[in-house]
This record gives sequence, structure tokens and C-alpha cells, in this order.
Amino acid sequence: MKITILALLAMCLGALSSFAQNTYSIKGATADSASMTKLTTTVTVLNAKDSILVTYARAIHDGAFSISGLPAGKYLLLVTYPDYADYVEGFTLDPLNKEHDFGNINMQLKSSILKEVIIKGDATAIELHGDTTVFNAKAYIVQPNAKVEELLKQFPGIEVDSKGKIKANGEEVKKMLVDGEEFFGDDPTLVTRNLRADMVDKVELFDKKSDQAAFTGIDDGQKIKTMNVILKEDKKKGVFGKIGAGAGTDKYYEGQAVYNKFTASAKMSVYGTTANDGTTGLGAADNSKAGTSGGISIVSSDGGYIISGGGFDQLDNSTYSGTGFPVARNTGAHYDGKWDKGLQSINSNYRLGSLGVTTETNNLSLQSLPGSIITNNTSSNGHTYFFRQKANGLYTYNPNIQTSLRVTVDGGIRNNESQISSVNSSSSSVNGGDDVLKHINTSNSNTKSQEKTMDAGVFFSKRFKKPRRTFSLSVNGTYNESDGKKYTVQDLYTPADPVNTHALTDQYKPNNTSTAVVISNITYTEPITKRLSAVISYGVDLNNSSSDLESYDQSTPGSGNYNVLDTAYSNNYRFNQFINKAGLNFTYQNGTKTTLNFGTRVSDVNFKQIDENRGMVLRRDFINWSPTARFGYNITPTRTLSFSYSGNNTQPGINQIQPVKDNTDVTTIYEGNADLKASFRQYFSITYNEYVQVSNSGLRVSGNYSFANNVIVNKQTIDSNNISTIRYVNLTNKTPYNYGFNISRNLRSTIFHGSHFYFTLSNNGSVNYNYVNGELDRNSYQRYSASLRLNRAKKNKHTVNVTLSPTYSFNTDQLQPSFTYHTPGFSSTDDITIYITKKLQLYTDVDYTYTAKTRSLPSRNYTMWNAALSETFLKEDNLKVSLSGNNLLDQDYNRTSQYGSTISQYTTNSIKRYFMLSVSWDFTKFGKTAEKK
Amino acid sequence: MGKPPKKNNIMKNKLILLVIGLLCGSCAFAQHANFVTSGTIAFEKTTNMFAAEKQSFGDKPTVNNMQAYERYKLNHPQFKKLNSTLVFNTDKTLYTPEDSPDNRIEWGELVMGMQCNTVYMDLGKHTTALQKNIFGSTFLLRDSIRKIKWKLTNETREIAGYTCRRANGVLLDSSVYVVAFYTDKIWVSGGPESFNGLPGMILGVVLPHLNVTWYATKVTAVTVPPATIQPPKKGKVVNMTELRKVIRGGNAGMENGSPYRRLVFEL
Repeated sequence: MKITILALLAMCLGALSSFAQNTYSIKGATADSASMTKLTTTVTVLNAKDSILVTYARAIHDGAFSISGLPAGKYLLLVTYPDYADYVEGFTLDPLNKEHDFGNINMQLKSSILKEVIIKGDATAIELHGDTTVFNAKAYIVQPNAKVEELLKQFPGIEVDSKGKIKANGEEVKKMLVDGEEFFGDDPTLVTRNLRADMVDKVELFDKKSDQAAFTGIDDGQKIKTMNVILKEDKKKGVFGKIGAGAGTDKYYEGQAVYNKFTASAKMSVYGTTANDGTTGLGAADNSKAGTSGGISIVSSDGGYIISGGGFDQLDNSTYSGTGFPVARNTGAHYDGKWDKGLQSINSNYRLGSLGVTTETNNLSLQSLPGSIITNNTSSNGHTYFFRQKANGLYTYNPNIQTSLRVTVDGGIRNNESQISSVNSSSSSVNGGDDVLKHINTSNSNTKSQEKTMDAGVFFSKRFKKPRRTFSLSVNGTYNESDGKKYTVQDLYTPADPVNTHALTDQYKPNNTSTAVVISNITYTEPITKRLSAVISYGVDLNNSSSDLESYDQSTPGSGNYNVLDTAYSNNYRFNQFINKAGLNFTYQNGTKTTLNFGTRVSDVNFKQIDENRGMVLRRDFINWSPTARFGYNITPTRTLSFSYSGNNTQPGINQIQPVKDNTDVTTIYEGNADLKASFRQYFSITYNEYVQVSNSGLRVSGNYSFANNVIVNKQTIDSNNISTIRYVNLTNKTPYNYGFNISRNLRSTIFHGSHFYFTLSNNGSVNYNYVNGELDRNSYQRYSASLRLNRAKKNKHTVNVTLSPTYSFNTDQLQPSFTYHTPGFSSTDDITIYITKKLQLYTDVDYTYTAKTRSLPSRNYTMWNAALSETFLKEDNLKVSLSGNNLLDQDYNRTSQYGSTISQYTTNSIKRYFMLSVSWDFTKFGKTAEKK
Repeated sequence: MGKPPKKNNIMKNKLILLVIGLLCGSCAFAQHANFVTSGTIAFEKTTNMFAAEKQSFGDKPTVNNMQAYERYKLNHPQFKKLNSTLVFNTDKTLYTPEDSPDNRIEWGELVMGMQCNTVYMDLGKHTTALQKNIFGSTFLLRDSIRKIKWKLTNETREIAGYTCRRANGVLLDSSVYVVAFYTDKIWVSGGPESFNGLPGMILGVVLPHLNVTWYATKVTAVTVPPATIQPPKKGKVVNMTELRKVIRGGNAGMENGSPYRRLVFEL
């Protein structure tokens, strides 16, 4: 027994000592692979995991080397010799392999393929700096003459569609900056399809806050998802641009020219485009706000009401949504410069453009009610056109580090025209019986309007001697005026009504709206303890607006003389709004590890609406609360966690309390409800972000949940002629909610040699309520989706971007169980570029969507497939001739959707298959910097 | 008739090659590719004085600080350059700053722009003798060679005609982040100041957070007599702990100085 114990002890000691000893070693010999000449190489041992230097030695005169005294572990051996390729080999040292013999290592002159990759020093593909994600352009491969867009497509979490619209983690990126400065403002494609990818050093992604929120650190709710393109030092000076034109079958054409000149202190750009093939700028749809239906719209915000004048157009076709046949002309200029040693700067843009769209649409909807189904079929065709000019300027003056002044001025004029004719026929089938026609409404409308806007603002901020004591002042004034004329003819045919079978409305409606708004806010920050500060804010908003809408009938039918005022549908309103708002917030900051801020804003709103014609006054005085809290925690510099909460009141809209009587659509009537109360919505979100530098991989997990109390829902009553009356009520005993959950992982694969994979799983859903014919309907919707994305690029060989996304949706409707369904779906967005030779490329892209059939809808698939063959000329490959085929499968645009108990199928005319021959020339000339790095 | 002469030519060529081959046999046995094992290197240190100024105030600049900064900017160029020489042989290095009117104390805040160290390293014995000048007092630090944790990359850069590989490092005794470029063509593991420990001579150093760089401008491979590489002897002898105490406590008001200034003195 004793012997056994001793033996055991001895064994343990022996084992311990062999673990503790660094008795492992390596040896080998190095020579030139061709001539077998021995080489006195430098031999270096690194940790395999993180490339940390362990030790090094030199091979002796006969090329032999040996290193001893190494601990167990996984290593890389790096063998180097001037003019020879680095030789790298991984090896493991453990009790089974106490001495690793590399044998004869053959060194090759010039470059050869590395078997193992040493982690690149600064080509960290992604970095997390708090809320900002920084992408390093060096870590991604783009083809020659590629633009920024091609680079963005490879960033994990970023999607770019065929129109150039960018989404980051599902949210649209609305603003692109260049070196922190605005560049053409609201059209991201003027950066992404204009600037070259080889000019980019890094790209930052963050939520841009208002000047005041950025200054005080307190979120005021204003957030725009922004990308900032940071240029390489030696690419900040030079001239670059592009000229191109194309002509195709069916008279399609496009032309564009862009010229940019960047110097050390200024940037200047000019561009012009003209096209009828769907290109409206350098690609993205021009999403300028065109106003809403009904003459004037009053939308509730958390502070009060935003009163805006607008167009009349019920179908609102004056923005180009990717359908119809468009003709677009666009031109603009940008200038920004710094002087006075960078203390003063100016940033200005001028844009001029027009868009005309010819549309033909059809909307078929089926609404299921208890005991009956209502079918509505609306066909319309029309033409819309707008021409607009706008200019803006920003002046900044920073006399010293503590003080900053920003002044903005902008203005624009827009002329709109539209002609639309439509036919809406509505029928009902009761208890599965025959379809009975209830009404046919034929309408024609012709509108012309002009809108003018002027806006000016000042933001002043100052940091005091005492750290964290700051002051800021922001004042902004806007004036908007809109003048319009509309002719509308509607013929409502109701077969079941013996008295009024045909009701004809033929009116001339001139409209004039004007708004003058001043918004002001001051903030003061004071430190309380070493880590805690308080922010107090106070502001005043004033709004003075008017809306004068008149309706005239003809004195004699058919005379064309509209001079009889229809007082029932003529309105003359004046609006006055006065808001007092205050806020108190606290910020707790613990170094760079923890940030916490919480607090609330409160607004006291006094709103007055005066009906000039009837002498009636509507007053609404109310108080809105908006509490917020935000917590950010940097677990390590590459792992961050954040949590946010916000709540706010939503006041009922003025059109819900007392709608303006409007007969623009005689088949839908709105009724007011003076007893409406505000609803309160709360929103929670949590995000975890992690980036592992060594394997160039990342993980992002996020979730959000929001619910509302006392929500305002619509109560729709449909009469026997299928005319709807809509009234709004508060939902007091139910709480609608929605949620989302998303987990994404990106990694660089060694299997496919440097391809990037991005994998996402998400689940979102919602529960909503509304009343139909007196009954409360509950609708719940959930969607599960997975998406796998592969990005792979090899310079002058190929670029592959493939996204595959299966989805599964569940929908249940309380009133109509037949509308409960589970539907699988699948979508894929892919683009592939292959270099057949260095000068000849083949490009193709596919956008595919498939939805399986449900009980009430057939299955649907849509494939948009384009391809192009291009040949490049000149030494830099900057002259390109392409032959392209667009919409090769000749698809029509259609969309099916289901909401609550209504299913709609929407089809519209869109650009069909055509071929185009185009030529483009990219020019670049970058200055050489005198600076050496 | 014409064939035999051709054959003879080929045979002759082969013979010549063989002879040359034999003669060079011993040379071809091990290629040395002109490795440098001793010589001198001229270094240039560049400091971004504006950034260094600003950084020395810490994160609570007073109004006086800011005014002084603006005044400094008006009267001085942004980049300050100072020269130095590194003399080395197979296992010893001596780094000496050049005597220059620019290398003088300006006002205590601008230490980063000065060169106050003469550094001798014995790479075989792993010891160093460092002569440091702080505000007129001379100290002599005798210690083991400074330990640096290096991480290699495969990024390369040309410096003074040599292809250098980049390594990122952290000074273990002060957590300062270093980027260094070394060449394995010079078989000595030294570098400017106290930077060492890579499989070759360090020809470039960047301290990104301290806004300073050292780059070799010229490398001369010559035989260096051992007598030329001698450790400095002047100064009050201290070890690292004692030196730190001097820097951090009670000397020229540095106990209230910003962490940046202390780091600089400790380099």
C-alpha cells in the first residue's frame, strides 16, 4: 500500500513537472526550392491564435535551425529571407509531439500562396466605437473603377437594392456624409454611385442626432441612420467623374454626366441626368414629400400638431415608386469649403429636376365581414408631373474649441400637375351567394399646384470653463405656401337607390394653404458629481397657418363656368398653435464603460382651429409626456450592450376629431369624434453587438417590443351601397403590440477562401385591433425569416453577392377564421460579375420573390432578371461599352397583401423587357500628396 | 561537315560552367544575401507638436491652457524634427541623440518634442544602461532590457531602402501601444530608444497615441570597433522604481501633471 501511494505521488510529480517544463523544441533546415542552396533564414515562432511573437532565431550557415525551451501550445512558424516569399506553417507542441521537425523547408523566390494567414495588422474589417460601427475598406475587395456602392454591398448587415437604396440591419440609411460633411443632402446615390471605392478609407455607420442631441448627449427622438464615408488622405485632392449615355429598344434612353473636384479645402460637384428607363438621379428614386390627400393634413407629433399644406392627389402619384413609365431629368451642383484655418466653412447645394410618370394601375381587394364579402375593383390611369428647384446652405463658424455657430438656410419651389381617371366598382356577396353590384364610381381629376418653402435656422453652442457645463440655443423658422387648382368630376352609380341612381359631382376646387412655424429650444448642462450631470431644456414653438379650400359648381351644367360656391364643401380655416416644452434629463458616465441617461420631456400644447366661414372655434389644450431612458455598456471594446426605452403620447389627429368635409372620394366619408383622448405608446429595445478580430467575425442580437394604451382605431360602417363611413374611437380595454427579434452572425470562411458569410434569423409580429360594422376584430401576424448571404470578390476575376431568404408567415383573424393561414415564402437577391477576360465582363442580377398559396390567394412569384455584357477599353479600363438586357422575363409588377380581414392584389404597368447599348467613361486624376506617411 | 564545331562549343560551355560552379561551391553552400551585422543608422524623430500640446492638458483644459495653445500654434511649426544616431554590432547597440539647439526644454509642456535619452543595450546579456536628462538633472538607469509584447502582421513598408515588416506591440511596463517596422536583413534585434525584441533591426516606430514617430533615414553598413559602443557613465544611478518615483513625485510639479507627460518621461 505504501509503495502504491509513493508511486502515485511520483507519477503526479512527474506529470506535473512535465507540464511545467518548457522542454519542447523545433528544428529544421531551409534552402532555396529551385537551386537547393542553403539559406540563413530568420525563423520566428508566433502564437497561432493571435500572432504574438514568442521567440526567434537564425538558421546557421548550413541552413539548419533549432529552438528549444518552448512551452506546449499551437504555433505558427514564420521563415523569412530577403527576396523570398514568407514561409508559414502551423505546428503543435504537446506531450505527444515534444520535438517538431520541419525537415527541409523549401523557400520560393517571389510570392507564393500562404498556407496559413497571419492576421492583418490594421485591416480589421469592422470596429465598434460605442454606437458607431466602422468598416475598414482595406479588408474588402472591389473591381477596378468600382463605386462606393459595390463596397457597401459587401459590409455585413448592409443591403443595397437595384435602385441604390441602402439598408443597415433592416433600417434605411437616409443620409450619406463625406468626411463628416453633407454632400448633396438627401440623395445617397450621389455619393454611392459617384465616388469611387478606391477613394474610401473607412465607412462609419451611426444614427445621426439633431445638433442639440449630439451636443448635450440627450436623445430628443430625432435620429437619421447615416453613413459617413471617410476618404483616404491621398484621394482628397483631385478630379473625378463619369460621362455616360445609352439608347435602347422601344425608345428607352438614359444619359448622365458627373464632374467632381476635390481640393484640400473645398469640394465641388456638378451632375446632370436624363432618362426614361427608371433612372431618376444616379439611381435611387427621388423621395421628395409630395403632400397628402385631402387638401390639408394635420398630423399629431409628440409636441403638438404639424400642419402642412399639400397636394390634393388622392392616389398621390407624384413620387416615383418604381412603377409606371417615368421620364426624369435631374441636375444639381454642390460646393463646400473651409477657410480661416478651418474655423469657418460653408456647405451648399442646388438641385433642379422634373419627373413625369404615366401610370396604369389596378387594385382588387376583398374585405371579409361577418356574413359577407365585399369586393372592390379600382382601375386607374393617369399622368403626373412635377418640376422643382431647391437650394440649401449651411454656414459654420467655430472661433474656438468651446464655441460653435451653425446657420442653415434653404428654400424651394415645386410645380405639380396630375391628371387621373379611375373607375371603382364595388360588389357584395352575402353568405356565399352571388356577387351583387353595389356601386360604380367613375372619376376624373385634373390638378395643378405650386408650393414654395423657405427655412432658416441657427444653432449656437458653448462649453464653459467648468467641464461639462454647456449651453446651447436652437431657433428654426419655416414658411410654406401652397397654391392649387383642381377640377374633379365623379359619377356615382348606385343601382339599388331608386331616387339617386346617378349622383354627379363636377367641381372646381381652388386651394391655398400657408404655414409659418418657429421652433426654439435652449439647453443647459451642469455637472452634479464626477460622473453625473443634469440637462435642463426649455423651448417655445409657434405655428400660424391657414387653409382656404373652395368648391365651385357650374351655374349651368356643361358651361364650363364654375362660379357657384358650394358652402358644404368649402372651408376656410386658420390654425394657431402655441407650445411650451421643458425637459429634465440626467446623464451618468463611467469612463468609456457605462453610459446611462434618463429623464423626460413635457409639452403643454394650446391648439386653436378657427372656422372662418362658420365662425366656429375648436380648442384643444393638452399635455404630452415623453420619458426616455438609455443604457449603454461596453463589456470590452469589441462587445457592447445597449438598452433603450421611450414613451410618448399621441394626440388624436384633427381630422379624427373634426375632419374637414371633403368630397374628393364620394365612396368614403369621414366622421368626427370630439371625445377622442390621447393614446400612450411605449417602446423598448435591446441590442448586443460583438466583433471578434481574430476570426473577422461578428454577432448581433437585438430585440424590440412596443405596445400602446388607449389606442385610436377606426370604426368602419359599410352601408347597403358599399359606401364606407369611418369614425375614430379609443380602444380602452385592449392593448395592441408589436415585437421583433433578430440575431445575425457574420464570418469569413476559410472553406471558400475568403468569402464572407452573413446569416440572420428574425422573428417579428404584431397584434392589432379595429372595428368593422360594430364588431371588434383582432388580427395577429407573425413572421419568421432566415437569410443567408454570401459575398465574395476577387479582383479582375469575379464578384458574387448572393442572398437566400426563406420566410414563414402566420396570420390569424378573429372575425374571419378563414383568413387564418400559414404561408411559406422565399426571396433571393443576387448579383454576379464574371471577368471572361480582363477586358470583357458578364454581369447579371436577379430579384426573386415567391409566396405560397393560402386559402384565399393563389401562389405568386416574381422574377426581375437583368444581364449585361461589357467590354472595357484603355489602360485603366475606364471606357466601357455595354449591351444590357433588362427585365428579361418581361415581368409585370404586382403585389399581394393582406391586412386584417382585407386582401388586396395590386398590379401596375411597369417597364417591360428592353435592350440597351450604352457607353460610359470614368475619369480620375488624383493629386500627389507631399506628405509622407 | 559543320556539326562537330557546334558540339565542341556546347562541351566548352558546360566545362566553363562546371569550373565556375566548383569555384563558387563554397560560396553557394550558404547564401548570406548581404546581411548587415554592424553599422550606423541615422534616425529622425518627428513630433506633432500641436497634438502633443493639446494632449498634455489632459481632458480638463483650463482657459489658460487653451490660450497658451493658440499662442503656441501661431509661433511654431506643427512638426518638430530631431536627429539621432544608432551604432550597432552583432550584440550591442548605442543610441545617441544629436546635440541641437532645438533639443531644449521648452516650458515643461513640450517634453515630447525633446530627446532626453542615451540608450545602450547589451542584447547578449539582456541589460541596458539608459542616461536620462530631466530638467537639467541626469539620471543613469541600469536595468534589464525593456520587455515588449509584439504581435506580427504581414504588412510591409520600405524604410531607408529596406523592406520592413510591421509588428504591433505593447510596452509591458506602461501599456503604451507601439507600431514598429523591422527588417530581417539587419541581424541585430535593436532599434531606436529602448525599442527591441524583434527578429531584426527596427527602422520605424510610431506611437499613435503620443503623436510621435521615429524613422531611419540612412543605414550604413560598416565595421564598428567595439570601443565605440560603450554604455553612458554620467548621472545619478537609479533603477526603474526609483526613476518612476522621481518622475511622479515632487519634481517640477509633475505630481499634478497629466498622465501624458508622465508617460513621455518614462519612455
